[in-house]
Amino acid sequence: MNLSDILNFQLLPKSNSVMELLSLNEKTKEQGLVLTPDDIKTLVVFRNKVLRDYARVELGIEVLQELIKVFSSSPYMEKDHYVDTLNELQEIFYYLRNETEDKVEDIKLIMKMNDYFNGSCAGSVELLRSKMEELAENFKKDMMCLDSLFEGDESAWD
Amino acid sequence: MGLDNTQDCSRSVSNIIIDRSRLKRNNYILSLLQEGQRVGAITSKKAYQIQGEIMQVLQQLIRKYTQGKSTSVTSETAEDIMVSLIYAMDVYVLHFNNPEEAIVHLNFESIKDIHAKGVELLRQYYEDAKQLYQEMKKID
Repeated sequence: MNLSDILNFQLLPKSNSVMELLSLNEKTKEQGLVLTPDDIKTLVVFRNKVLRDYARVELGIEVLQELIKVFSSSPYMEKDHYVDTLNELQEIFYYLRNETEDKVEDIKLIMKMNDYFNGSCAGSVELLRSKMEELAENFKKDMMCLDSLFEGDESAWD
Repeated sequence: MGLDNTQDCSRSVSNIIIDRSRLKRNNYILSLLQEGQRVGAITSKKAYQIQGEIMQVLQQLIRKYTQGKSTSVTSETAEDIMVSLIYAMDVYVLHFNNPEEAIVHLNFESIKDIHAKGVELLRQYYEDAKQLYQEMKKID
């Protein structure tokens, strides 16, 4: 049974999901960032690959939508690398999703990534990846501590 | 939600002949779907619709599992939820007197209802088992 292939969003050119992603251009074009239908295809194909690589199943495209909404307003997001950066961000997100063992909400992970991206990483995806690996490592250490087991695991992500 | 809706479909049962050797105790409902299609009691269109409905219920259960805080789960979690979904549906279709009757219900009941009725049956079986256990303890 390969639920990953069955449940993960399959790309249909005029599906609601594609139209929803295209509609985000209305907001992001203010920053000069616009996705073409081909760009969306690239993003979704990459998303499905990452989900498969990380052995995850996703029901909708909310994460990709949120990544576009949040990161398009970053002063470091460059038009020429928009799609590549979004793909990198997708990979970092699902890496974090797995490493935090589903104990942190999607939106908190995205906001944490955004804070670092716009802060100490100054728009560097490589640096962001490294910082998120550190965070994930610390999260796992905290998880092993008795205190963190009883006091809630999400506090560091607030 | 009543568990007994057999009145409307009783006359259709006699038209279906299922090869019981093709049915599997585990994943009973899936083998029933296959056998139903083989003997022409379930159309391929209906089977496709049922598969779609199973996926819809699975999606609802996954959303319930994440409490809306995440849109994704590990494949392992999704498969575990799928197994529990199939298990509950199996319990419902197995409670009929014969597979022919179960197939008729597969044709006119929604998967959402079949799953919900399976869960309700499991709850009843659990309560019955608890009661039996208490009675057994009294005998000791």
